[in-house]
Amino acid sequence: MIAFEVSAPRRELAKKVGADAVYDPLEVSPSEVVMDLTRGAGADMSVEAAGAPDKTIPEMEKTLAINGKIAQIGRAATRVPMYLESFQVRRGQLFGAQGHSGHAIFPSVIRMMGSGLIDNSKIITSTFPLDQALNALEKATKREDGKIIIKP
Amino acid sequence: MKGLVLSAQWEPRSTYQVSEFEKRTGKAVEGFNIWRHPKLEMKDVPQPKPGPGEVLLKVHACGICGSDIHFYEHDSDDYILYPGLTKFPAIIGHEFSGKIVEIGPGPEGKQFKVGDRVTAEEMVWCGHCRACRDGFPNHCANLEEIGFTIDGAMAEYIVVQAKLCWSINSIFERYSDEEKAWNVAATTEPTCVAYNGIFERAGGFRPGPTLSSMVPVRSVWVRFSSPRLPAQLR
Repeated sequence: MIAFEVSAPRRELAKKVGADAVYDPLEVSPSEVVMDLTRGAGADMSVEAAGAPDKTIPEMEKTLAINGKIAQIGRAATRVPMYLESFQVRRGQLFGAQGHSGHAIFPSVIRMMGSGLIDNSKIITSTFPLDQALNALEKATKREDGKIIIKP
Repeated sequence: MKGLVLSAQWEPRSTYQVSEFEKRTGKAVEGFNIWRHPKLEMKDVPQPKPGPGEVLLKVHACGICGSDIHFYEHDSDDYILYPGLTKFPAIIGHEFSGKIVEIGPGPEGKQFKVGDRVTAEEMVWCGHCRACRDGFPNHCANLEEIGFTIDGAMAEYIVVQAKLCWSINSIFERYSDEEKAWNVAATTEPTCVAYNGIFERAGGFRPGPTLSSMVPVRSVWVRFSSPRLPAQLR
């Protein structure tokens, strides 16, 4: 699992919750890093959750393993030029994803949290009382936290 | 009760063609092309009452999502940054957990009792449009979204449809610290978004793959990565 994150505190968090390698995408060439770490095989799955597909998809398509998949989860109202030849040569696929309902997703995730397979307590870095919700949002704009929780 | 209300002006950009759907419903499909001069205020608002099929929750924890930040931040013309489905004014907040304090009439709420601890889906799917009937609730034609088009959970109380609620008792069995359990339960929703993308939509991965992820860590994708990198990394 290779994670790319521009915020330093979040890179630390990524390591804490299980990423094997973490990089600042502004300091390295992400596609070169992925190809290097996988000895040229590429990524079996890439997850776009940054909401910056114009920047991330061009990197991901260069690292498609054969049968590689890209899941588009982040939202961005922007056009993304893609080099489809990569998807043909690498037998790649891109999946659009929206939402979280149905398909037994909620009970499955709650079961994983209840059994300890996922421990999201590690990503919660701040809590604020409800009457300080605006201060909490202000802090969130600094993009230094993991998850900030408001406590009514 | 107190609630964090987002209000904004319906002022479509001169370059944007407002659709018939948007005119009819007052819901912006492309929020950042319509909502201008956003204002977030902690307000005193009436405590909502649960109608048929609904429950009233006392909110115990509500996470801040990147979308909430994109309501708070705006561009140089003072339009919101969030691009999607929105209708204001509304209380924001959609990653939450809470205790059921009242159950509205109808069979939907019968699976719960007062005092139950739950989290809820943010997507308010109707259940009767073609997409819902075909088994694709995330693509509901009559979608409302909690904290985006209807009141959310950065408030003392929230009314939610019972069909969207899920018991979180197992999370309380996991964490002895009750506040920690409420906070963790509030991260269920974003984790489910990740699960939907990686496993439901993209079909997951077989043991032993390599994943690369461009992520805000708060969205927890990395925790799904039980597979490990090849040995040369260690």
